[in-house]
Amino acid sequence: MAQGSSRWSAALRSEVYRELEHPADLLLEIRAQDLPGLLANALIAFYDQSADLAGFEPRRELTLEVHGDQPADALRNLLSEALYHFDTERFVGTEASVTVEGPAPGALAEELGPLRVRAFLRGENADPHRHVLTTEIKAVTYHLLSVEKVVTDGGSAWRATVLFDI
Amino acid sequence: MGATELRRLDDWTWELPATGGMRVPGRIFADDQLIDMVREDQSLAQVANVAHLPGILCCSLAMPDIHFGYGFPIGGVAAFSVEEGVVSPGGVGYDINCGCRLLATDLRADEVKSDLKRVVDQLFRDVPSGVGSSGAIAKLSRKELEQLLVEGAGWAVKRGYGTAADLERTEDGGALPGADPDAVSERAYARGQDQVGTLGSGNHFLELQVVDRVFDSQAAEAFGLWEGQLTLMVHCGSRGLGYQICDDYLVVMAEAVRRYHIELPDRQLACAPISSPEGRSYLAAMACAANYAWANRQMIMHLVEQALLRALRMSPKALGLRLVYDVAHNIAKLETHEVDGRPVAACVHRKGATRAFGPGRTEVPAPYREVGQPVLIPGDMGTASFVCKGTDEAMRRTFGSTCHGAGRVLSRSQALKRARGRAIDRELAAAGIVVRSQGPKTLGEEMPEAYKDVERVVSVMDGAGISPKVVRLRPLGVVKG
Repeated sequence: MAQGSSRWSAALRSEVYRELEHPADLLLEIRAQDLPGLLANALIAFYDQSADLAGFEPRRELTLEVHGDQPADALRNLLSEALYHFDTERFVGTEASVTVEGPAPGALAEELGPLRVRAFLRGENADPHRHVLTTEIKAVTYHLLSVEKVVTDGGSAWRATVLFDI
Repeated sequence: MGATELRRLDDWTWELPATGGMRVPGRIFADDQLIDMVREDQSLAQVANVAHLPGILCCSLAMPDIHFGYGFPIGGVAAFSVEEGVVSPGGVGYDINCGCRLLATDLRADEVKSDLKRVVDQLFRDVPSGVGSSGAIAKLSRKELEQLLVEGAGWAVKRGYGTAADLERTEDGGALPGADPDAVSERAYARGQDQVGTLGSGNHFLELQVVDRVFDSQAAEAFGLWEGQLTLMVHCGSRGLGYQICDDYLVVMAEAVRRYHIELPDRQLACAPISSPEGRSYLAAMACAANYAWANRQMIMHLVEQALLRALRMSPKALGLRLVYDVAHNIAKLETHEVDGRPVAACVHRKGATRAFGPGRTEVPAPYREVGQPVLIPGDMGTASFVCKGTDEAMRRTFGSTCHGAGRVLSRSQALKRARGRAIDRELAAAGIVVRSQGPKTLGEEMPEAYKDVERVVSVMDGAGISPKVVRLRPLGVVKG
């Protein structure tokens, strides 16, 4: 079981993710040192796009559990789960800790079999009097969806792209 | 997709010849400038991809507001034989029955000029808008929501939020037949429970407008529109319920593609035979979302009327608010069309496209049947929107379809970059347009420069004889989510 975590910080935003050009929707590139960290960063990126996170406190916990045949499926399923709780409960997370069961340590993205992902989130339900929601994400699409392990100067890292329909 | 692959058929039509696995050619409506924009993105490849699908009839069509979408291009129209063809959630989109509703009043726009700010503020207060907006009416029970999914706009009318005349002036009477609440997931129910009567965010809007030009006085009269008149346009869809239904059925269709051995050039075109259990189930769930959207716009019309009455302090009779028409922009429908001289039962996918049925069709409301169906085409919030009319030519060439709006030309991030350091609301105010928005980001993303010139788009379909212009509507006040 591998673990990774992410905590929102405006100063660290550019290290976690960046927006790529897309003609109509929202395309994000997410980076991390390992797969659990990548999934945790993706959750924080999703919330950072959906709300102004500066006003949110870690007052509530939420656990999400998903499966995926491939890391990209697991990423989409995890973000779709987060979107569902955002849309129905207004839950916004500012801290995410993710465990991934399934792959052997160091395996390449295409070699990973079925994955079981569990995310522990801390945040709170948005209160219209205290919080600002910024973007209505309709869905997490399969288009341009990717998760890959990339070689870097210092060794390796993980990179994902995900397109949100907005 | 290179320029040489396109063949010009006439001033307004281009053909993408059928090559490789394409079963039919592509056909794109555009002028010289718009076709250059189309060549710059991947949407021509998407037109070609759609042409690969089983049972496609005639051609893979693209309207002049075409841009890159999920699987199918936005601005795409494709009809499939009910017997041999497929249905695809990607051919409808996430926001099922996102559409437009035009309301007319008995007021001249200049009568409310001094009250404009107050009216827009009242609309902004009374019609829930913005990210995840909810609470226009009490949260619906499961049973009530199931009834709504079957009855559509009629559900709202039964509860006093409108009249039978509203239903007559709504595409399909505001309720697509075949809706099956059992085909809708628990998650979709949860997302839809408290969003009836809400606008949402993004490109959804309420807009107070003035009829500032009449192109076709006979049709304008039939539609009850006249120069100087105050009108109001609503643009929104099926909210979280529709998004979830699309998401759910993309998974179902991915499996169906394997089961039925359908070869696809792009997995986003995931589909199932129309007659298969998966195809029928999607159409039944999609009809639920379409009906939710019509109930949503019907409720918003009621909220709008109450807001106008409060702000203008006048009687309903003096206001004279009435529905001109309500059209879907994202939908798949079972219709009969003439193909090679014989009637064919078809499933017509319109994704970012508007039905534009010609005179005489029984689907066109009786008061409009002589002139053709009203077609509502919103533009950007600083320029204009148009009312056009459906024609026989549309029935012959586009399965009774036309464009749906201006179409984006700037990405949202490009638009935000251009908006940096500017106050879009003040710029619009200087042009006489009062704007209220839940967030400044939306105004930047939706700024007028982010869209193609709607007049150019509409003029292509006018020139091609598909949907001639009837009136132009100039924005006076805008509410954005």
